[in-house]
Amino acid sequence: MKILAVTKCPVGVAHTYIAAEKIEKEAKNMGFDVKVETQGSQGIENLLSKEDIDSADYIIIAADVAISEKERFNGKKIIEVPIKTAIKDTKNLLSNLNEKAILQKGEIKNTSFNSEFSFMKSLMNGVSHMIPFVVLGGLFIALSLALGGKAEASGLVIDTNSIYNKILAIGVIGFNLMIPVLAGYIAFSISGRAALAPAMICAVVANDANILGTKSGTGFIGAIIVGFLVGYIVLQINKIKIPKELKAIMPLFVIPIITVLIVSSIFILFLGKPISLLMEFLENMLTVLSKTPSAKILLGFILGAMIATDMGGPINKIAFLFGVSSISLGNPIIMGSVAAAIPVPPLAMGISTLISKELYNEEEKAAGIPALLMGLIGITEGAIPFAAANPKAVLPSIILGSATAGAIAMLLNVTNHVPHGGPIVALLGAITNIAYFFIAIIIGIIVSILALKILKKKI
Amino acid sequence: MIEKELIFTDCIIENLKKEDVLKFFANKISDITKFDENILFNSLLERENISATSIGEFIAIPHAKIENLKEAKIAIFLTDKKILWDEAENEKANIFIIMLSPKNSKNNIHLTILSKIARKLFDEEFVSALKNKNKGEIYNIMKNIIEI
Repeated sequence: MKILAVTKCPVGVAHTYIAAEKIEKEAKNMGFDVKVETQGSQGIENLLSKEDIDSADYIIIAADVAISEKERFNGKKIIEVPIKTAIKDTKNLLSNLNEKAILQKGEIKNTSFNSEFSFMKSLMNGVSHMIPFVVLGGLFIALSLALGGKAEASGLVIDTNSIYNKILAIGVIGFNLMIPVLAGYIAFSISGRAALAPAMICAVVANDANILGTKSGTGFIGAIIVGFLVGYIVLQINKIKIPKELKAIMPLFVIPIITVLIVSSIFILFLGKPISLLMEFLENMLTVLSKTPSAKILLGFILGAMIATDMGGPINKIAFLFGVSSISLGNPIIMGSVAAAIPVPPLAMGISTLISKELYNEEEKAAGIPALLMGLIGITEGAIPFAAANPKAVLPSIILGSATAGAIAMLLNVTNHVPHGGPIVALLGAITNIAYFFIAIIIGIIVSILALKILKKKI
Repeated sequence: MIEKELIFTDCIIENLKKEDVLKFFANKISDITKFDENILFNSLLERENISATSIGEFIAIPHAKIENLKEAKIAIFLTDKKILWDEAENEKANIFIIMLSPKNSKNNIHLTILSKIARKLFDEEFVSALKNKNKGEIYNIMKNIIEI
């Protein structure tokens, strides 16, 4: 017979472990197979795995406070006792499981350990750690551009001597850190501290165009891939049995070095080339479309969609650079379309957190206002926390919205002479047909918000 | 974290009220460690009020996380009389193993050690050393647990 137990007490330094010890000892004496998870002040130790739970006959919950993730035991026979009972009356408790245990009702999650449940949890861990970086970085960049930016041929430019230039620089640091933090804390939640450094390092590698040999890093999508890749590689390395003497150096030397080598190599050797090819393909496609006047609206639609797809990644970059080069080629209408698409994702997300409150958790609501401000300044990245947390619902919604805005701006001949996007370029006088420009943005936002309402499950 | 001075094998208790006994413990610990007696007492009492810390076999483990405490401390008191420690369950104790750990400490080693000790409490060797009031042996066993 296999018995599992979870112990937890209010303070978490003593009873949790006494109860665990008692249950282990007594159960072994009685000839049972036993495993006890402790939820103490050192965190969760000896975690019960999906396999453990599947093969268990009974689960004892010895706790005076609510335990973490009780839903794991849905469909199992469980018995709940005060922690003192588990300590003092262990034998009695174990002898009477048959009569006392009751079936815990609730939906059984029939997924393995690498389930969507833990997948989402790891993703959320990365996103929630990333949000402050996006917020601070985005706000500093937005603030400095709004107050100190001038529209010039090379984009929004800030005087090198001005204080806004420093604020911009600080904001850029915050933004750059977002990538390693996202990857790092996804990996951390999968396999702990040893995974943190390799994931952060590899995420920066994956976002470095020079190292990859491409025109663009892989952005937040690359960071998510790195996070999961590193997390699961470290998980596998940890399963290898190694001599005790080597154990101490594993998380410090062996695991980080091996993991960084593996994951960096994957990105540099195997992903760099495909990304370059993809970018080349997209660029050619855009060039062909732009030479076909009848495909004008389609071109705007595709440019808008690309802007929202990876928000700072290679696809976004191609669309943006295509718009930029169109200015000097005397076709600023393409940049006009891009500029209308750029602010739609963050503006739509920001407004959606305000009017569709039921769709978002507290953390996301907190990221809503900063996203709005970033949108006004044309920083598409403000929508990344939302897209990373729920790609299935958010990405299609913002892609559709941006694409709509891009298509409308193109149709209405909006032009933009500055390589930057969002309402700010209109304020700085770089846009012609300003009214149409805003109409395009607003319709794009409405489309996104409606799509979010349909696609995003209520929280 | 364990000192011979904090092992009291012959405590003569006059007043059997639980609060007074706790106060007596806090006073003794404060004498040796110079840590504020009232803070110790209040922290331990607060934990007892959540639920009494007696764990059977006449053992109780009052414990608390205490702000500004430099390092984890263990104190052991063996009392001459059995004290009613858990009124609800009518449970008495005359062996008290008090664990104090620093609050907000970044270093978690003391927690590991306390959890190790907690796991050893029902070891026959340890229980018999406690019952025989053998200070040297109690100290050695504690030290062994901590150093492993």
